[in-house]
Amino acid sequence: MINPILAAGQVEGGVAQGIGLALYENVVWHEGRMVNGQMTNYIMPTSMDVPTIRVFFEEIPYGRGPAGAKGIGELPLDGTAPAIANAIAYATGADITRVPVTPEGLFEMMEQVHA
Amino acid sequence: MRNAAEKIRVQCRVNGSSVILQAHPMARLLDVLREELGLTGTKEGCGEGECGACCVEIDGDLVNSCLVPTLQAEDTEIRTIEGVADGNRLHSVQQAFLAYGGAQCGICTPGMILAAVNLLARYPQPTEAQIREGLAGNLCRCTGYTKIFESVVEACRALERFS
Repeated sequence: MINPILAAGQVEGGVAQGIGLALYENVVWHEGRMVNGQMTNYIMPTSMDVPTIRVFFEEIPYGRGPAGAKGIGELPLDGTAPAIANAIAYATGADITRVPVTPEGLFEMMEQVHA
Repeated sequence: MRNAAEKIRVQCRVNGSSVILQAHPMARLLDVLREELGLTGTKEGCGEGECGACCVEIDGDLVNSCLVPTLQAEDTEIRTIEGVADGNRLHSVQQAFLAYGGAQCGICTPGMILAAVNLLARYPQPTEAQIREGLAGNLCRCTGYTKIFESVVEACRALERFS
């Protein structure tokens, strides 16, 4: 790792964005426009919503990168929402087919299973 | 009644110095700090009081300067991020943000640091819940808050050592 503190920070940030994607961040469209494009109605995680994130690295040098390095900024976002969706599916039996999983959205998805 | 389009004279203290602001009464304090005084450390994020990037202290209270009409600054003591360090000596919170990676892209950082400094003034030894709550009015997109949280915890330890 070139900068362990920043690398861990990138992972933590990606996980937090993934939590937002999984649970809060709903883009509402109406007639081609985003109608909730303000921080007041587009909800993203705050320090109260993000738990402590523990980061561990397995270093495998990358042959084509400088000093064996490769980028880290985007990847950490990918796994979080599926992990949370799977946890909710496991807990409720619902088939989670869209994010964010809001309480009302989850209620609908649970009704489909039990219908 | 005074004409709202007319500029008024507002006297206050900013980071320890007396200043006289010439501004429209309803001009946002955020804009006046940045444009009249050149204190561009205070950032505009959302401009609607949700994100905390424009935090300043007015008479010791943490406020969103995008929601403060300059009129209300009369006779107040304002502290911006530029007033947190003591000359070249960084505040323990700033030092901890540097050492523990509390800043990534940096837009939330001035507000976060002021929120943390304000929190530590109110609670010198905050609990984990108090730190989380103290930072809850400041949104951060990059860090996931973990490094910011660690930085504040470290700043508490450092302040304890020196006091």
